[in-house]
Amino acid sequence: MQERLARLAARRGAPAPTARTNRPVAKTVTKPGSKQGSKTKRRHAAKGSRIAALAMSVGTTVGLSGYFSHLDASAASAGSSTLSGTATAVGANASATNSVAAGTASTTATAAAAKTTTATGTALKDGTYAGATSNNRWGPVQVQIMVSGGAIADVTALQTPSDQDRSVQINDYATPILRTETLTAQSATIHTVSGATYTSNSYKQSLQSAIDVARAATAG
Amino acid sequence: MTTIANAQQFGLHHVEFVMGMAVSIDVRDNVEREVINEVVAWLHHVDATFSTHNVESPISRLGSGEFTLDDMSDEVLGVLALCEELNTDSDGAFDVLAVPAPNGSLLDPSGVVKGWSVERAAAMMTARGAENFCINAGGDIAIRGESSPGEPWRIGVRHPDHADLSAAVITGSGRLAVATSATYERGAHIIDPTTGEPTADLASVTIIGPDLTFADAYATTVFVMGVAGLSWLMDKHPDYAGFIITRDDLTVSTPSFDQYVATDI
Repeated sequence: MQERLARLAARRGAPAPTARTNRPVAKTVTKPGSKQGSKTKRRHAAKGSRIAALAMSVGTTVGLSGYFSHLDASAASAGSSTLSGTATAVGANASATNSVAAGTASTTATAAAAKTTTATGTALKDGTYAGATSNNRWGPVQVQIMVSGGAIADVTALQTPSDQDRSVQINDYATPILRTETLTAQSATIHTVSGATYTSNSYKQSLQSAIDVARAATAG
Repeated sequence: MTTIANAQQFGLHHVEFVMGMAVSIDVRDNVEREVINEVVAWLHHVDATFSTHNVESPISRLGSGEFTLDDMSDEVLGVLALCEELNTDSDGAFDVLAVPAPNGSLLDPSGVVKGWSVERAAAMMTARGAENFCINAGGDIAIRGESSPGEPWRIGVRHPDHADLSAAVITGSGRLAVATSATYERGAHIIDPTTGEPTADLASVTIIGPDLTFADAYATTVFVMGVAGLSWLMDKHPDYAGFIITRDDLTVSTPSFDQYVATDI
């Protein structure tokens, strides 16, 4: 710690931290569209796709992490020995483009497009849609979804990196399986809520919610 | 709208604004008011010591270089040592020396301090005879016992887009912690220490396990690592379950998460 603090001191005054401070603000991902306006339809869309919520274990294991572009070296090394996953990537927004980019990262741009689609779109159009091929560090991954009755009925892996030595090795030793589903919004009876609300910016909201809980508890 | 479960017949519920957030203490036993007062005093002590908003706090003075580690109390040194353990454990993904703090320094142990202080608070309450309670510190939660006899605690995981809806409901009794890291409250505030860039793939990460100190830190770690972080979690900390919501509205969870998910929504 002492050594790292010394490094910290050395870094102080350098312009980098300041520049860094500003960067996140510019890149902050904001949810487009009015929250109010999107609420009803989003909930319906979520409920619909909930039927298709998938927790499947495809025979071949695929590094789910590879679906996302953001990976740092430490994560890679930490996860490599046990990483497994289902070749299940479900896009609730397929209706807009007739394809599911299963492997693409959720960059700001794609996330924004997806959110908008979800907010204004309706149920998925029936059909079979192949996702774009994505490369993770064990090889290419491509999945296909089948939409039936407006909901995702099946997901299959068209391509997996199972033919590669690395993956075979992983398959042999992998036990944990990550599970993927589409997000649902639920109205539920609860005692309290877990979420990120600790910053001073969200003080009012956080405080108000806590007060609401307290008030409800008192009233009950 | 989310509805709040029937409240207790007796007990105490206190909400305190401290450490820049609302801390809700919900006790379902008959306990002395003094217990709450002790916990509140403890949290204010932690705030005064570790605040990165207050430039007069020891941690701010350490970050600014005015103080060195030699000036720090054993309590502060213990927390900083824990920070370093978590840094090593996560291969650098968790780093309290990577992100600009509100006081302008690059030392911000807040990600550990919150969970650690709440766990200590819970231990204080247990020592004073409280058996069934829930502490919610700005969305990070430590529970003990049950909400009422035979009934587990029910904890909603906030939907990233709808503050009044849950993306999942967790039930638990006994000793359990639930921590969520997310960017929906003030934009992308979780920085990848290895790049200095904000992480962007995930909307929120929820970690469930026995100790809020670690649940909180692992939530931050997994957020930085991305979905691969769940494999890291399963590999290194199998007693903790993880639940991710991605920006494109997928959820990814560890198999161990299932045991906590309420089915009677």
